[in-house]
Amino acid sequence: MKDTKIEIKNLSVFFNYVQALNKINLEIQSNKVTSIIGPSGCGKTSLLRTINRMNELIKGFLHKGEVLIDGINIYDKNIDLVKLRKLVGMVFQNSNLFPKSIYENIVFAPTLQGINEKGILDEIVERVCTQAAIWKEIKDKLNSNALNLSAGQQQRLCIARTLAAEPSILLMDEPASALDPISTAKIEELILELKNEYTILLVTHNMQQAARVSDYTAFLYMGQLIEFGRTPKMFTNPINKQTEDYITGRFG
Amino acid sequence: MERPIDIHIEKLKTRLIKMCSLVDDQVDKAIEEIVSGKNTVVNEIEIADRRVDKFDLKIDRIIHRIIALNQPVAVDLRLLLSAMKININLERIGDLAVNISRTADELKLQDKILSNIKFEKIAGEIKHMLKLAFDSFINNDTDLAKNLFVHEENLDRLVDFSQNKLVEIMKEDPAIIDEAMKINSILEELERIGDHATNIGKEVYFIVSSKSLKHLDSDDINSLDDI
Repeated sequence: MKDTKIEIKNLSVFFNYVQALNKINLEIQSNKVTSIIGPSGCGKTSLLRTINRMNELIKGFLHKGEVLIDGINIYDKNIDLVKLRKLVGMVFQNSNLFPKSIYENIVFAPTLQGINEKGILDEIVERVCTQAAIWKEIKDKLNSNALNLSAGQQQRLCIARTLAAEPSILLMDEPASALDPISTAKIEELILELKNEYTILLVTHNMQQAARVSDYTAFLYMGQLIEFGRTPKMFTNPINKQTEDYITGRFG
Repeated sequence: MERPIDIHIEKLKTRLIKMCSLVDDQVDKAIEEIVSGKNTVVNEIEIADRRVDKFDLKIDRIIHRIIALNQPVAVDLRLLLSAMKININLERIGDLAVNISRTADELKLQDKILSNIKFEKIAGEIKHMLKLAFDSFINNDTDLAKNLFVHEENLDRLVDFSQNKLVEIMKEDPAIIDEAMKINSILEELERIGDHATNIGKEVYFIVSSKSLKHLDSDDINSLDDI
């Protein structure tokens, strides 16, 4: 049965009056991985960033349409942005850890939320690091600088840090594009593991990655949603010629 | 703009088309041998079959390499999966042509029997079916591919008729049972060539439409929407 977590209705986005997204309609299912694919500049990241209202940090941003999470329009005036961004976590292409210890990085959000008790924070650190499949590698060096970890470990630590805020949606913007194949495989395994508890949106340029990890795939081109469907169908027999041309590398 | 995979796919198609031409020639010669009684072509068909076997191996290697290096999806993937099966069907047609020519080599009284069964029609149907199968592959033509089903049913009817006729001939003249049984085995092998031609048509249909025609009969095929 369909269980819609995010509903995007007629969403258009402009930056300084240049249209980046054009009347997007999309339903994102709970506890599924949805990949957004498309050529550079097609609006993938813009779409992702409408879901935690991060586009508003960019000057000249305008939008039309609605983004509903659990039926609530997140662009309503009375929406608390801090609560929204707690609900919708985000992982970026390059890890953006604070130049602090591993422990401090993870407890950053819970501390901001007012949790100060050491025992509870310790519990959170172990739980989210286990979820992010990095606990075994860092449990003996929680006080060392997070930036001393490898790129793959840093990215998984970013995921752990995001999970510590207890979101229900994870936005991932090219989370493995700067990583080697082994680290990429770990991130992909992690995505599959995490979807049991979170709704995941993944922006990727790596078509094979989209095919491997996502349940649904959306193909965007020049700000328009060209095709959206189940990933096996999209990669074996897409309906739209443009989708087929893109996934088979005929675009150019 | 040509993609890197296009060069390899083109090479694969060229090999498959050459293989089509080789097995087409093998079947033509085998049929000619049955009708004319000339047994000089057995050797030629066997030599051609060794070439077909080499093509079979080479095509397998090309497909393996394209999949490993290009991670194909959608129509590219369908083409490669179907090319593997078309390759198998072509190789089997080549083997059947060899078997037929070896059996035909042992025939002595074919004039007496062939005129009483519808052999010419069967031979004509086989040649036509191979042409349909190969043309449908070369031109990605699903209409030709669907047409094969009608011809396959026609072929089956002709073979059934001829086999019944053979039984009658054997009853009338038990002295030619041995010869008639050989012709019966040739008929069965020709019928299998027809099946392989139809299989090729099914693969062409799958490449173009992504719909499988497996386990369907000609009524089901006729009710399919045009692509």
